[in-house]
Amino acid sequence: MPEEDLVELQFRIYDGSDIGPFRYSPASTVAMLKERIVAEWPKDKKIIPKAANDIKLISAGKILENNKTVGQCRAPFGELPIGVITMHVVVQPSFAKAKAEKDVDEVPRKHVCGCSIL
Amino acid sequence: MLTPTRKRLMRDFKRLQQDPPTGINVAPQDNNIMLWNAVIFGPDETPWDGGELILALHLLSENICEDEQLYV
Repeated sequence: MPEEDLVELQFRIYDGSDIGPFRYSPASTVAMLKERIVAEWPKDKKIIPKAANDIKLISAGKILENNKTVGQCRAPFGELPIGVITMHVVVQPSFAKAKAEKDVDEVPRKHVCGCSIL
Repeated sequence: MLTPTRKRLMRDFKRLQQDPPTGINVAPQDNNIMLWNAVIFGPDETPWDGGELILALHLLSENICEDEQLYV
């Protein structure tokens, strides 16, 4: 298997630090990349995603879909000699906010039906 | 046709690829350096926090200045 087919990827997170770089075949899917990112996420960060669905990957100005492959997400003008491709990772707000707010919003809502049957 | 504008844009794109800023991700569309896709991550504590702004930048002018330092 020739080494030249592999693509070198690294992932930049919200505070500017990078995860990786890792080598991937262009046939690898975005879902696989997300699994690896969650597994390799530094444990000392304030926000830590738990599953692949907690993050979004952005590259070449687009949000990447899970079923796309690395080869399909390559930036244009590929003839430019670039070593490592850097993608951005964003943690989903539902996860991040839930983590921050679970201690604050504990007041149970009262569901009272106001209708009266005459 | 490789005008100075297009050369400048290619240079900018190469710089952005080598060291991408944290809050944005941007790249030209296939084979058209005058049309770019961009994603801006919603800054913290703004109404866009947690979201992404998805933009398409259409550069109309061929007169983008070569040297920003002229504007000091």
